[in-house]
Amino acid sequence: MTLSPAAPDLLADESTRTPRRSLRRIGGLDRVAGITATLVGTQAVTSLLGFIFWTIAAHRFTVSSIGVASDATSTMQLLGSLGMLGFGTLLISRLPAVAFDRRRVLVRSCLVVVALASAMLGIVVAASVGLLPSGGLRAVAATPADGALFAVGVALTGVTLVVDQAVLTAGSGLVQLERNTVASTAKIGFLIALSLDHQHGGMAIYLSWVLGTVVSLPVVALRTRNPVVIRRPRWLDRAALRGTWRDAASHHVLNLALQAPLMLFPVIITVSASTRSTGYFTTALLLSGFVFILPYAVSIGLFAASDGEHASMRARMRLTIPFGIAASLAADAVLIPLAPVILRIFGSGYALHGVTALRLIVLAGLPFVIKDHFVALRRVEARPGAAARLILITSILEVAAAVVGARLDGTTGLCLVWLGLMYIEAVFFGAILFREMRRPSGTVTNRSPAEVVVREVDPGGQLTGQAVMAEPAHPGPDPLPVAPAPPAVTRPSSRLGPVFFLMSLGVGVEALAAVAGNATVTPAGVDALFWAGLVLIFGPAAVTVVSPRVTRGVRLGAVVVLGLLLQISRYALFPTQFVFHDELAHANTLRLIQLSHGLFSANPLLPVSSYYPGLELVTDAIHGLTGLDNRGSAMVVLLLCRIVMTLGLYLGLERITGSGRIAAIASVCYVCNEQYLFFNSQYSYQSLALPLALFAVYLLLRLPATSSLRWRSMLLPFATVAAITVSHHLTAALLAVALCAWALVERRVRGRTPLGRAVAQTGALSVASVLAWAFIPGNPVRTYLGQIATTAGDAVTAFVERKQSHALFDAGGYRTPTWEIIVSVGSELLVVTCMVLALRSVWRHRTWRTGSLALLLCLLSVIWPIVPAGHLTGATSEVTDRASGFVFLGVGFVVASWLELSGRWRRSDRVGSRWRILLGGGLLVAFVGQTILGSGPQWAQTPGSFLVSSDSRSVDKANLAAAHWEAAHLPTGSRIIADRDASLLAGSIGGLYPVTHVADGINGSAILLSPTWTAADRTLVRRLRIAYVVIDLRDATGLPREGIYYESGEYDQNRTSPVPLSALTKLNAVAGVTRIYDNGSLVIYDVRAIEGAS
Amino acid sequence: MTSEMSQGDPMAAETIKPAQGEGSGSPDLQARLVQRSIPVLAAMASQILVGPRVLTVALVLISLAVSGLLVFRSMDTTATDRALVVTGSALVGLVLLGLLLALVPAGLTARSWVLGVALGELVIIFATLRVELPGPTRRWSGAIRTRGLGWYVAGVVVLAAAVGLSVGSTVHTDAAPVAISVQAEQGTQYSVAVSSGKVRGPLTVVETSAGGSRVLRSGVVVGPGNSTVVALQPGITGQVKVELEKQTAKGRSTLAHLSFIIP
Repeated sequence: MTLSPAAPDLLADESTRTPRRSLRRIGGLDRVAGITATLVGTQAVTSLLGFIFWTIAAHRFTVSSIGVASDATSTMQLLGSLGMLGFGTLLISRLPAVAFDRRRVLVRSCLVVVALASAMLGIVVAASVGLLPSGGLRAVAATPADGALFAVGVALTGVTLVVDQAVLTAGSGLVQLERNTVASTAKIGFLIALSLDHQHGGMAIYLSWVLGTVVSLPVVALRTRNPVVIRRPRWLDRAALRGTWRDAASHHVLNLALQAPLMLFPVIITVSASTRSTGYFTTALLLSGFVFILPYAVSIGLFAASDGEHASMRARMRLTIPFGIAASLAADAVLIPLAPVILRIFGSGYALHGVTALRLIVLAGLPFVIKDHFVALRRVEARPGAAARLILITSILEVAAAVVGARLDGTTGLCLVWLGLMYIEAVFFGAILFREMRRPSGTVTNRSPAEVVVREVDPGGQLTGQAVMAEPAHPGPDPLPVAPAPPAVTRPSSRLGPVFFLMSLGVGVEALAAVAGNATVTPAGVDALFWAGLVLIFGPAAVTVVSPRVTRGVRLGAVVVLGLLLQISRYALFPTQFVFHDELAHANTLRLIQLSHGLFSANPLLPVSSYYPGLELVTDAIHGLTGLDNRGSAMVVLLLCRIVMTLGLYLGLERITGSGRIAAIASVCYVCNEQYLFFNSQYSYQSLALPLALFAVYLLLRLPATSSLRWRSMLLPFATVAAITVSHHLTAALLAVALCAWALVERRVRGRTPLGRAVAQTGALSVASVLAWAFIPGNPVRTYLGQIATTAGDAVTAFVERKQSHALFDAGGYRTPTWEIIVSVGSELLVVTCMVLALRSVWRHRTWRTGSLALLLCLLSVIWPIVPAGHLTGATSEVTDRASGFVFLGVGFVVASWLELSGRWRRSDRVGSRWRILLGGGLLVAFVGQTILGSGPQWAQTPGSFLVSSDSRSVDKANLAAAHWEAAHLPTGSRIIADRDASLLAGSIGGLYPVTHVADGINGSAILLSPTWTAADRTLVRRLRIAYVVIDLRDATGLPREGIYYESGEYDQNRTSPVPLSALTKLNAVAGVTRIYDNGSLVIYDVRAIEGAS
Repeated sequence: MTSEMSQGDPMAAETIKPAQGEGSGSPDLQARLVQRSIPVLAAMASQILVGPRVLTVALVLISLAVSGLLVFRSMDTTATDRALVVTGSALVGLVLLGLLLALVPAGLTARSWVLGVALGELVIIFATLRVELPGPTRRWSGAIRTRGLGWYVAGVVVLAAAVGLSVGSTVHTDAAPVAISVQAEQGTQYSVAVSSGKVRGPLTVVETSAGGSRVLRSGVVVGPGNSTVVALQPGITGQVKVELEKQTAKGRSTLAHLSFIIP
């Protein structure tokens, strides 16, 4: 850490003339804001005056002259940037620390070097252009005088670019604005004068540019003149440059690396796509510059205003980062909707083809804020080399990603992949920034030219020591008193804000995955975005809970936000429509409740769900109370469920263990279970019942430990058990078993206790209510669960007898990516290893002695192996996957307890950091791997183009259009037969009664799938009283992804080729059948005329 | 294992005890009862008198907020515990209330939900009459801080933008394709409708029967809210097709067709 005393700005003569109080203010955020404003202002003014300049040139000069001048000035600016050699940013960081009387000498020396280097570049280019076959650039060396003029222009450009940055250390940056305004205005004047003098060549325009620059330089000299008379001033001093070359080179590499990707993108598109695409992209890039200028200006302002003090800079960053982000978002909010309108200025083709690129590119403004702040921080810390290395690597990665993206999907692919990488970089740089912002840092006090006192501050804000660092004495005016910096360490609670923001970005990336999926971008690109988003959501929360210096509130907040944002990420992917089988089945139950205003209407899609309507009742309540539509109401209900589940789990575990840290880590471990993201976030009955079960346990845990419990205390636990009973059969049954086991263990371990009595009473009620509800008339739950148990048992038997196998990964004609297999297997191995170590630790430390429920959780964790073992057969995998939602309660508990006892990761030294990184990485691998196992193949994870019988990918525009037509035109409750997904939509949206084997007891699949129409089909129509048949002609294009077109046990289920189109169109030729709807994919036949059908 | 409950947790420290209120039936309590019941009663009145839906919803939400706050403040525990109990109890209460409402003759309707919830809220208001609500001048400590608020605002903006982006993309993708369907049967008059979720056209509607093909309508452009209805002649057997007018290499592209016997 390098701390330098605050020294007055040599170049800032106004700073020495301004009263001290005002200076103090300028030294703070006002100065950052001022510099930012002037940088943006400079951009605006030069853009406007540049527009006027070129407009006048267009009127007074020939097109070829304009072309020559355009080429020459563009080349001049490029060479000037190269010729800066990093001295601009070097001076910003160095000047505040340089003795007052030596500053001007240093600046002059640097400028001379830059001028020489730039001029050299200009001469080389001027000498080389003759080798070019043709083009306007050859004019810059048409005569020796033109060549010299070109080189002078390049040298001046390099000099002014450095001067513009150096003067930022003076005051608020107005000098730069003034110089540029003068230069741009003077250029216009010279242009007019030269044109009036009948100078019409392209180099005349160039000359006016050069003259304008020359005129502007005295402005800088005047505005930064030295108020202190220095005897025998030296004009140049080579010694002043000693030791600067290395840093200058680092700054130069850093600056070039920052600019390189955006400069190379047009080239990549030209190579990968076409020059036309490049045109659209370049225009979009040009417009996005107005978004990117602000984060850049803020970071440069922060850098320039820091005067080399990183402690105060860190404090300012807490404001400038949110400001930059908010400004970028505001710019996005304007540019994204208005993109077509703005691009139309350039032509209708730009509005049509450039709009996607513009919308995507502007989204990069946000990561640029983080990246630019990181660069500014490293510059202030005098570590440009470290920043240069990192930025160079990321820039190379960006270019590589852009090449891959462009090859995959042209301009859109480039933008998407680059954007994804930018957001990952933002997380990386953001993590560094947050760590730096929170790092205990020295606060500079009582500084004199001779010494700097550094207070070492601990995380709690306590003074732990002082160090006196000697600094070289500077002659000159009295040092400025430093504005009191905010405490170097923020209150821990404020840390949740950045974490929340980062995790929100993850949801944003999920939305991009949805957009990419809807735009049918290649699956690999969608997949990359999808997993990047999930990692962004999960990663910050995992890091936060394992961090040793956060309070309970922050941990709890991170856990709650994790649960909520993972739920919201599902809406970001599938925002408007239920798309999964169970969701659509439950949506049908909800529709039936709203239709009948009562319960227990027959739902052929999932008959048992009508008898467990808890979720639908709450949804209907939200719908009735707020007027939200069913999808919106379901979203509210599921978010409430997530809150209850997360808080119930956390607070329950906290009560069991007495540790918020264990509770938080166990909660994050629980999120890693296979069912958490995909299944328990769906609109399905267990999504309500599971949170309520955790709530019931929590309620019992919080009962007062008095000898006699009042009946009022038991009211809510009893009511909760009752609500669970009518919400989900399996959860209610498992809760009843768990409560009984808990009561027995409590009795065994602690004897008769009030808690044991309360648990026993609740367990007894639970058992009674579960049994009573299972036996209400019409409830098919016994048959339903019996069938599942039979199927699972048969599958196990067949597996043991080697009659049946189950593909663990590649199923339904889909090939699982290798990385998914590796991560899944890795996560299973990781969980196994952790479980072994955790159980060993639990055994050694007798963790179960914490309480009866702790013992129960330990026992629950022991049965975890059945979850991965269940994947050996298809039928059992469905059962054991569902069980993971319960079993992982125990896994999370024992693993978190073990981690708490191991303790090494909680150390605040480097060893602790390494362990925490390992721990965070392990959690991430477990989360991704288990989620892959629970989510199924890639096509089921994200939106995309239509796939045959694939639930989420089958709910597409054609299927939805047919369902909405059915709702509008067919009598409600009409009996239809359709394939799996058309049935789900016909029920939940169309308001019809889809005939199913499970509900009607007759397998009608031959009507859909048999190759020809037979008398047996006619009989089936009559027996099933089918009024309409819905056919999806696309079923003939592939085998069903879910393994069945219609239902388990369907006609010719073990087919190896898709159902023939002739089978699907056979009804066209059947007498009495009318084709009443066709949207090109879905066809609806009216079969009521078939005798006997109603 | 060490307890973190007392380690600098502002929420753990914030335990607000119910006020030790005045005697039961005192004028203050009566006034409090009336004040707190006003939004509930107004919601009920608005629902019974079929007031504007927006008004009813607003009153329902206000009354829910009041009763939720009363339950929240009636508990002598941490804010997070209270948040869990309030949310969990609300879910449990709605499930059980739904079961109850399903038994009454009116059944499960928006009206019965509003009235049922309102009655529940009145019970809560009565049971928590002694609980004081924070006045407008009460300074919130701990639970709400403005520090770092910018991050939350920025995060919420990102979430809103994400959902907005996704909704826009999905709505665009899910726009219905061109479809043809039987529109109406009035006596012997049949007609077909051509519709689409996106602007498509020009299209041609062609009738094909034993007597040959006949263009029923050409230059048809359909889009959202702009379907075209074409009347058919009675008594023919055949097909009605929708074709793109633009000729392709393979001939005219048929988008969809109906085939039926027109009586």
